[in-house]
Amino acid sequence: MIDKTLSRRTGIRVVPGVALLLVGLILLALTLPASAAENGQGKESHAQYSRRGADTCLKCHDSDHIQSIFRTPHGEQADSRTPFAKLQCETCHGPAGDHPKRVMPGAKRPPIFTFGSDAPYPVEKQNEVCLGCHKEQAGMAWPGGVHNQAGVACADCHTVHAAHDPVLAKDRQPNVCYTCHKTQRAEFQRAYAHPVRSGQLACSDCHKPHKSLSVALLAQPSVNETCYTCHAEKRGPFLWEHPPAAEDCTLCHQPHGSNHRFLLSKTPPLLCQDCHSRAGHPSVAYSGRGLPGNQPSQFVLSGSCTNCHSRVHGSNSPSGAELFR
Amino acid sequence: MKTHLTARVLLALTMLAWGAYAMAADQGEDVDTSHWQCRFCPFPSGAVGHVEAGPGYVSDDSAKYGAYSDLDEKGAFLSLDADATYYGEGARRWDMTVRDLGLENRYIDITGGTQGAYQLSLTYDEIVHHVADDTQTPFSGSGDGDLTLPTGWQRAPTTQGMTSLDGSLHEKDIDSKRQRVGIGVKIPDQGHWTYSVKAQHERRDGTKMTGGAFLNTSTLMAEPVDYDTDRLDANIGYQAEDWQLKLAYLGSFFSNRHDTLTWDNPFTAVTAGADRGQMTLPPDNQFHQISLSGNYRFGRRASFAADVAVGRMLQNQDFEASTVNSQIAVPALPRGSANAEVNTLNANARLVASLAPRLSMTWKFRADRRDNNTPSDAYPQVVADSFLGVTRTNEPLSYSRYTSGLRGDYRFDAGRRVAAGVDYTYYHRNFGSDPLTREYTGWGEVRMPIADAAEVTLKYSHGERTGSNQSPESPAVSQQNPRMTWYDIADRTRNRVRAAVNVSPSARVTLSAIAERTKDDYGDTEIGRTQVFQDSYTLELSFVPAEDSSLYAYITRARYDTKQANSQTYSNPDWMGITRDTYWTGAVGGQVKGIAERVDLSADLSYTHSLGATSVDTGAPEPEFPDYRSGRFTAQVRGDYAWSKSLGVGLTTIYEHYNSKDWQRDNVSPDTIPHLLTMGDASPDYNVVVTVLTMNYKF
Repeated sequence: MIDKTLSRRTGIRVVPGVALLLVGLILLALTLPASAAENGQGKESHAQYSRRGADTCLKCHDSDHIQSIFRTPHGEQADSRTPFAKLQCETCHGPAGDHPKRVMPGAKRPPIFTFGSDAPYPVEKQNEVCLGCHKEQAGMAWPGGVHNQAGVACADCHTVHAAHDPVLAKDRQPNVCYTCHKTQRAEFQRAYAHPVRSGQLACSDCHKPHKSLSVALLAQPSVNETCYTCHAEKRGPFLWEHPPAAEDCTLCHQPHGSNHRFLLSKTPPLLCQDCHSRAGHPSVAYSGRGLPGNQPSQFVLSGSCTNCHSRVHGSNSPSGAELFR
Repeated sequence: MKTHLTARVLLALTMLAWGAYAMAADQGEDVDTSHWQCRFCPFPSGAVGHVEAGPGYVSDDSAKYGAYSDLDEKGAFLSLDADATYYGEGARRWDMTVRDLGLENRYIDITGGTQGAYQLSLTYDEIVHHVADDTQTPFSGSGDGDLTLPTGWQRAPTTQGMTSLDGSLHEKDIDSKRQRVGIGVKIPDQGHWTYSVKAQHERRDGTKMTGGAFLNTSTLMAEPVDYDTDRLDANIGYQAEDWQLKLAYLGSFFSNRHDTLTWDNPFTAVTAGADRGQMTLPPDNQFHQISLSGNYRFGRRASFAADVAVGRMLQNQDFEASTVNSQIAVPALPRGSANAEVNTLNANARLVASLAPRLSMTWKFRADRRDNNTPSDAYPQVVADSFLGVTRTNEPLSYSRYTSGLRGDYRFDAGRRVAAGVDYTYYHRNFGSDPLTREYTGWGEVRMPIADAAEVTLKYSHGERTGSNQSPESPAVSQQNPRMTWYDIADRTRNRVRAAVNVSPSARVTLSAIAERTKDDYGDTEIGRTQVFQDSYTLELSFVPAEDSSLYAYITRARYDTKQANSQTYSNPDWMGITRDTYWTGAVGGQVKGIAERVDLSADLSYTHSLGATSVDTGAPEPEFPDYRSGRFTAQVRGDYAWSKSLGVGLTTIYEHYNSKDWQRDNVSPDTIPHLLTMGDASPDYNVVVTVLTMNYKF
């Protein structure tokens, strides 16, 4: 049980500081003038909308990859929440009354509001359009989240016009994430990895980029709770716990991929000897002498320490203190 | 503390909620849409989709190749994927996704309803995991909870003396399969309330390899995997213009159809009655968690988000007997079951405020607590079903961890910005000597253009962790070397640097390079992990020569090094262990669509190579460990020909070559190790060609 004295001590330090900081920042923010982006939004509202809505747009924008939006939930008119139940294309792309008008030779056509990394509009403004409706889906933890602070636009990950947005399909999603997460892409190619490469798992099975406030945007409140989603047998709680297993799976495992079986960061016996130093076999400096052709050793080969201490995640046997049983 | 914090947060949330309500403004605009008929809008109706099906062939057996794809055996298979959507009147819509229907790895998802009113979902998902197909065992009953040796088995002190071993070995693959059925309903945010419930049942069946010891001998065998897990997620949310709250319940119910694994000892028993052994298998458990999350937006200037999750893990399965050795008289146990109970608390809070048009500040707080209320008692120990050892007392692990951080972001313009922050972590474990660590981390990040079409991002962080530089376990109990420090509590200096460059000389070409390095120094550690170093370098090129074609290439090199010290003499460090894993991963590929308006082509080549070096230095000449090695080369080519708008044919060929070396498994037959009877598995090597010819029908 957690020491109550400790909790009280921690609370004394944390709570007043937290409250003061919270109130101070809120008051400061509320007394400041509105941001430039906010002012800009007001100016745009005076622009003209087109005369015939989507019918105007579709005269020119008739390619399949644009028109496939009608196969998506956004294109459903009977749902009052969708863009096409409101101002059609201009719900998201803004007032486009000037855009289709004839332009003088050499003159630039008045632009419409566009999305994506190559769009000339600030990411914040692009995302405001999406978040204006997707409050429940993305609003919870997006502000201040790592993707938001890295300047990621919604359209960097979501292909809104596609009939099936790749980032929502578990076998296609990783390639979207790998656009930025290149180190993780390589990790999932390693000899032992969770089945992301083969399409059985998606990044979003463990990470929730919109809704999580947890470390690494994990889908569950902690590392272990995320792992227990699929590995519930490791939860216990066991009578005899192995402290690192109960505390944090990543103390021994590399979840994205490893050179070693079971996604271990390194193999036993050295992995175990990072923490075990008891006199006798736990602290012996095992060498190649224990390999076949010399003096093959159960302390070195096959599962090494786990050949005997097989209940490494914990044991519920009354005789399981050494994790044999 | 908890009461005060909760009360203050609730008070703040209540005030903020009223403030938000008062500030809410109608931003709607009057637009004349009377002529907006959407006559040219191609709204779909009825069923739309495609089915792709056809025969495939796998050229060779390989559990490693088919580890998760189920293409582990030579022979023909049916490839069948489909996507279909039914569009009905009044926003009715049903989506169906089918993958790998012809394999024992299939995935079917049907989701639909009336958009905006309700959504139902039904999912069936299979995930196989083929671990080894070269494993052998003399035991009968593999996959069950009782393993027996054949009649007439000759026990011996070592594997070489087991005269009946060769004649008794038979193949036993190590694999398992998950089958999940999920059903859900969601009533989305029509109005303010959102409701969703999802229930899932998972059946997992198969085997895993495990070891069972009798003092100085051990046996590897097939442990049954016979699990059922039910999960229930229920959510209710309320959403206003500027704030939202969500209340959620998560229940997880795990049950194992086998309580124990019992096996015959193939070795000569060194103590009376140690002819059979019994180990416990993962016990049934439950987890219940209630969470509340919410956020509040102060216009565009500030946002506050928080969540708190309170959970309880329960495990109270009846104890098995301390031993199956009838020759050992075991004192009475202090209780009949562990009555294990762990309460968890996870809370997060984050406040983001725009203090100026270009300046924002973010404050975050995180609390993680694990209160293990499992009774602590003294249990007599029967060591490996062999003899009565000393009594041991279970020591439940509890911990509390609090992290707080503050960061500031300043944007000079769209391309240039700087950010900096500090984090503080307080981590206390109630285990052994109750180690306490504190960690301070400071970091800074710069993003700026370095040319018209190039951008660079640099980030550096430095962390110092201080705390208990001793093993949390009492040496008197655990007999750990008192100089040992576990690396998760040891003093540590962590330095991280990351640099990324993106160059886009044209809209069609992007070149990026990323370098990451992390170094952990455990400078005060005498025995234990003393250093970890990892880095990763990536170079990537993407090129879009035309609208319907693309090319890419990348290469990544990563390294993971560790150093540790230990003592064979239970005193000062007298040996050092070093591991170094080096990875090379590269790929090149591209696709061209619409050749002669009928042909799509794609090709991908990828290569991954890893090298794991292990070195143990005692100062004396000792035989070295070989390297771990693995290399995989994959070439995949796909061509699609469209006969018509609705009918096409596709041909996919995949060639994959894999080779590996693992000194822990290679050249280890069941009787290679005198005191360990193994299952004889070796590191995998294969050459596999998979060819799939499919018809593609669009409707």
